[in-house]
Amino acid sequence: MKSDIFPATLQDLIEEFNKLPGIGRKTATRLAIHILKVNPEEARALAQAIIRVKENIRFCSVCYNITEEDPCPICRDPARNQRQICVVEDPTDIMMIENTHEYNGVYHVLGGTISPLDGIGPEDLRIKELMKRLDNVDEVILALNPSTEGETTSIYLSKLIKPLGIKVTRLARGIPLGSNLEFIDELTLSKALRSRQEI
Amino acid sequence: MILQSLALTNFRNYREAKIDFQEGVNVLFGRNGQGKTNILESIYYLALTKSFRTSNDQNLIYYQQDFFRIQGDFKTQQGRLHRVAIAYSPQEGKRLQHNGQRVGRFADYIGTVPLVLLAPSDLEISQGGPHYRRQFLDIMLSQASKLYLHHLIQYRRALKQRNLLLQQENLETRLLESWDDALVQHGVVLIEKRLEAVERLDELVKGYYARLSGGGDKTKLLYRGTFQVPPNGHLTEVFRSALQAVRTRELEQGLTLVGPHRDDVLFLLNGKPLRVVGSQGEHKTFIISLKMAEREYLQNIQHEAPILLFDDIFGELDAGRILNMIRSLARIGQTFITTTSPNFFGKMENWETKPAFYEIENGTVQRRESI
Ligand SMILES: Nc1ncnc2c1ncn2[C@@H]1O[C@H](COP(=O)(O)OP(=O)(O)OP(=O)(O)O)[C@@H](O)[C@H]1O
Ligand SMILES: [Mg+2]
Ligand SMILES: [Zn+2]
Repeated sequence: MKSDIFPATLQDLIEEFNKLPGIGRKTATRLAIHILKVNPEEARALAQAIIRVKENIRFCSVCYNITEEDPCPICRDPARNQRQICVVEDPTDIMMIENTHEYNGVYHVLGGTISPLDGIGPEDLRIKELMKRLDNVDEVILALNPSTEGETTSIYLSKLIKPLGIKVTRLARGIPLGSNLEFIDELTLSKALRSRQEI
Repeated sequence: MILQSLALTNFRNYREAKIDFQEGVNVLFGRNGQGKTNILESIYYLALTKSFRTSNDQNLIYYQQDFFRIQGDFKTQQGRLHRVAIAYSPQEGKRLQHNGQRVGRFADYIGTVPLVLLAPSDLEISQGGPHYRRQFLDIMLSQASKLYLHHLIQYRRALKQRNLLLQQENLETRLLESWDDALVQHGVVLIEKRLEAVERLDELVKGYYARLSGGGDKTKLLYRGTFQVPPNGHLTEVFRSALQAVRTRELEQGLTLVGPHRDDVLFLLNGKPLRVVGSQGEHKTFIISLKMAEREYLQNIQHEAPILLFDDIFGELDAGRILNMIRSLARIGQTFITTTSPNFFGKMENWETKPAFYEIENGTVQRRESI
């Protein structure tokens, strides 16, 4: 839906912003116009930051967290309990849990939840990779969002993991219903972590 | 809850109106198309932040104007005052103020003014398909309990996901069973709460119907599940095995065949299904009884009498029933009734609280001492 009110180069920038999550047409236009107004150094810094992120940041080959070095610092940390894996949807959830300072195990990033409506089945998530890590593990903590999909994915994972004789727990329900881990305050999250339950 | 006064600006066919109401019965009368239902619509809008007649708020703005505003002063049984104002314009959207404070999330406010509406379309509850009866229960229970609403939303989501899954080829049993668990986990809460509510409504409707009809008519409400729960049965287990029992058929049809989304409530009048044998007047009497029962149910939970809105419900009712109805309404909270023919009211004597009469004419309101 290109309109020709703006020069093509500006139009391209608007298109690119528009592709980002949560950015509509209007906001994209506002951002692009803003870029037009800032001084050249600022604009260049932004462009370089974007390129550097793509060049230097990768996924940890063990836990799929985002990292500059592979494996990531958490996976390499000898002080962390490698026999305890906390399963999360996204790398941002790791950040939230790390901020509570309540957890000393390692992580596994699933990359989403099972959702037929979005065409996401178990094979689209990093479930096989998780199963391969379970040889020397005592406990798997499921810390998925309390959405219908998150809960069902937790049920599915526990059906896979429990038969292996590994303890499976999940965060207690203190979490406000329907909210994302990202938006929960640390206190609530750390309480939920402490009172996690076996399922 | 009592609505003490209502102020409208550019709402439907009201340019500017300010009306004081009283406790008990308020009768809005006037010819067709004068603005009676519009008043009920504005009260409903204040309580639920939306209309019951349109989902497009622009239809509510007086023709050619660019905004509307509704303000109401409510008083609770304990004497607490709530001033609620809602303004809408296409440019700025909907803005809600509660006691002078801007309310961001409407869900936090909804429920402050409990309200029960009876509109002509509600006859579908007794005459239409099971969907209408489930919807009636769901709306009532969602008002009564945020937990119910939560499980309802999650159940519907799980149902949608599961139906889609059932349509896939080479389905992994473990995956389907995971969705079974999700469905059952939320579904049992819905069933438990509905069973409880129907039992309570059954008692209440019995009383109201007998009083309205003034005779020995006996009503009964029965919850009809898609599977039977034996007296000592465990609902979760029964639901789960019911799903297993229909598995082959579900896979063939790609649809979830058992669960609260398929349940129904059977209405009986003197032992016979109302839907089959009920006359127009009997349906109407039943629905009025059901709405009165809903009001009482909600009052017992929220400790506040909901405002009743009765839109055009006199047709097909004989005078005796109408008199009985209005007598019993005079004793509870506050009721608004619209009618084109206010004549019976004139004949009524021995009021505990006399109704207040308002004549509606072409977007204006006049208080009338008598009619
Ligand atoms: N946005 C609007 N602006 C101005 N007038 C409107 C608007 N929407 C509806 N109306 C008018 O309001 C009137 C309908 O009002 P309402 O539905 O309250 O009637 P009523 O008194 O309940 O009539 P009835 O007895 O037929 O049910 C119609 O004349 C309609 O043209
Ligand atoms: Mg009307
Ligand atoms: Zn790692």
